Parts: sequence; structure tokens; C-alpha cells
Amino acid sequence: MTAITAIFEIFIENWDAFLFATGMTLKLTAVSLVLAMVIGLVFAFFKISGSKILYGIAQLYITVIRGTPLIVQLMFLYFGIIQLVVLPAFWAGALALAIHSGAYIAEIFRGSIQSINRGQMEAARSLGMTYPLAMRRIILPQAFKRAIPALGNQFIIGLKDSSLVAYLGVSEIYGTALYAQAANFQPFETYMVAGFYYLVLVVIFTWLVNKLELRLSVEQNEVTK
Amino acid sequence: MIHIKQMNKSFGSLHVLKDVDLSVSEREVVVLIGASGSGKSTLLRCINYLELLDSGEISIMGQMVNPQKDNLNQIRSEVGMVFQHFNLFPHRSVLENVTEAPIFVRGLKKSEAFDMAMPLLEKVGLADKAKNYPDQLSGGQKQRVAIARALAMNPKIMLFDEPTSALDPELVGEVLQVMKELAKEGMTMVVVTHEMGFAREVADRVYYMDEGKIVEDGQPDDFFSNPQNERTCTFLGQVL
Repeated sequence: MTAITAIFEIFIENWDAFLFATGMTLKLTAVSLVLAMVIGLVFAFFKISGSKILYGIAQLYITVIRGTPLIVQLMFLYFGIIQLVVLPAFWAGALALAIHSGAYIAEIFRGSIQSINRGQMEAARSLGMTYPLAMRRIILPQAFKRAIPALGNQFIIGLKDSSLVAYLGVSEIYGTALYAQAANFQPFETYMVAGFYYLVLVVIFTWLVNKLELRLSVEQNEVTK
Repeated sequence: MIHIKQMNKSFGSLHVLKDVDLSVSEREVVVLIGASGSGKSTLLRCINYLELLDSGEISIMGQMVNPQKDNLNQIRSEVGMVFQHFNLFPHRSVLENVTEAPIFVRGLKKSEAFDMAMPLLEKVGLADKAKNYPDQLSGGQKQRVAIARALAMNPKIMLFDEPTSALDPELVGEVLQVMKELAKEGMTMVVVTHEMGFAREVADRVYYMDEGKIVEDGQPDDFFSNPQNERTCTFLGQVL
């Protein structure tokens, strides 16, 4: 009973700090995922470009990122970047997260682009479309729709991975919990509250992705009547 | 309209087209027949450079096709192609399928493209399906949309790659009907098909292909009633 009361107390005592932290987590996630989508798309094109050099570059990038822990990449990039340019911890963290997620998103995009029947490209080209135009108008819209479930999954991972940026000194949810438990000596209850915030965010996000998926499939069927 | 000289094409060690020569004049309807694997679809796809030749020359409307140069897209935009599996764009409505290339390749305004597309859909009998998506159409309807989509670019030549082979038997007629009308209007057409009735009725010239070569050609009446080549006789014996 006392544990539950303690959790509520910590929840209420720190609500303003955690609310601010939630905003920070969302900002980190949003910025890093937008960047990661761009990185992912570029490297997906490298892989399907047919150029051995570009393919090799993409393969190297994906192998290194997938083969090393995110925390190592974060530290490596952070201490690497601040030797070159002065970058606030937030941006260093967002950039590192983006480079990390970008590798996974590249593979998601590559897979979904290649899953589109090659007749689609042939039909588009036979109408006189250039390769970039056919990609933009015909292939990518279909590929993107097919990628949504896997992207949603990657976004959820990205949201939770943003907690590691706490170690660069960013006060997002996990970072806030770190400080709070050092002050109140109640680590169990404090981390419980932090976990609760993440859980709620992920549940809301999952709901949004499902809704998007549903809307995209309904869009085509609505017009029937 | 189309001149093909000494065309060769291999897939790996498989020599699919062997020194093929073919000429198609304006307003001519040419039908290519032959067993599967004889190279007739590959020949058609090479005309539109969906497959690259290994050697030989193709000129279309007096222009040598050069895939390294920009004229490939321009030539393609004047050569309509209809595929066995329709290849409609599933994420676009019927109307958008037809207007996509006129808008984004020719640079027409949306309203102009729509005004041009509706008569084409009427022509193939699908004006009432303009707002539908390809998923909601039958195979025959899809193929008719595909024909309208190709016609929307005002092609000088139409290529048909087994347009009725993926259709249920009762839907073949409606597609052939549209093709017959096109032929009557004087469209230059190259058709790969197994529909011998269509070949006999509509073709100006029939070509029989076997193992990557054009073995025999002739006007449909002669060709079907009095084939000269032994292999042609065997093939026609099997399909007629």
C-alpha cells in the first residue's frame, strides 16, 4: 500500500518536471525521426541504385549502425561532434538518434520499394515518365503505404531509444527520473513513474498509427458508391 | 512507323531474339503469334525499350531510339503499351490513371486532362467508373482502362502484350471489341496474342515466331488457310 502511495506522491510532486520532460522527449523523437526518414530514403535509393559504390556505402553504414549499441554511437558521435562544432546536447542527441534509426528505416524503405510489382514501373515508363517522376508519383506512394506498419514499429523504438540521450544531459523523461531519484532516494517508485509516461506515449502513438493505416485503406474503398 | 533491323537479345545464356527484322507501316495492324517462349513478348518489349537490345537497330517514326539520349521518354510517350497484367496504378482512381501522364508528362492542366479523359473512358465504356479504384473493377474493365490510359497520350502506335491472356473467357470479348474499334480508326498496332479469331479478322499481317525468329508471315487469309512452314502448320494445328 505504501509503495502505491509513494508512487502517486512522486507522480504528483514531479508532474511539472515530467510534463516538461515529455515535451522534450516528443521533440527529440519528432526531430530525430523526420531526419531519419530523410536519411533512410536516401540510403534506400543508394541500395537500389544499381551503382556498386553507392550500394557499398549504404551497406557499410547499415552494418556499422546495426552492429554497434546505440549508447556507444551516441557517445561516439557526441564527443566526436563537439570536437568539430559546438552543438547543444539536444541537437547532438537528435542527430545521433536519426543516424541510428536511419539505418533501420533505410531497410524498411528498400524492402517496401522493391515489393512493388515491377509492372508498375514499366507502365509508368511506357507512358513516357522519367525514372524520378515514376518513383515520386507511382512507386513511392504505394511503397510508403506498405511501409507504415514497419515504420510505426520503428517510431516506437525511436521514442523509447530517446531515453538514452539523458546521458548527454538532456532532461527528457528518463533524464528527469534520474535527477528526481537522486534527490528523493526512491528509485523504484520514480522509475515506475517514468515508465508510465513512456507507456502512455507509446499507447497513444500506436493508436495514431493504426488510425492512419485504417484511413489509408478506407480512402480507396469509400469512393465506391 | 517501326523499323527493326537485325535485333538480338539474350537473357544470360538464353538467346531469345535472333536477328529479327520487322517493319510496320502506318495504320497497319500487325499480329505476332507463336508458342510461349518464342520471343514475341520480348520483341514487343524491346520496341519500347523495356528490355535493352544486345545488338540491332530500332527506329520509330523515323527516329533512332537511343536510350542514352533523352528521346527515349519522348518516343515512349508516343507509343502506347498495354500489358497482360494491366498494371493500373492501384492508388489512383480510374480517372487519375488516365490523366496521370497527360498532366505530369505533357504538362496539361488538371481540368484539361479531365476533359480529355472522359471521352476516352466513354469510348471504352467506363465513364461511370471514373471515380472507382482499380481494385473494384473486373479484369476486362481494368484492361479497358489501361487502353484508355495509353490512348490519353495520343500515341501514334499502340503495343499490346497478350492483352486478353489474364482474363476470364467471358471478358475477352469486351477488350477485343475496343481493340477492333481502334484498328478501324486507323491506329498503328502491334499485338501479341493467342486470339486467332482476332488475328484473322483484324490483322493486316500475321507473323509467326518460333525460337526467337520470325519463321513465317503473311496476310491472315493466306497465313491461316495455306501456311508454308512446317512449324507454322504444327502450331496452327494445335491452336485452331
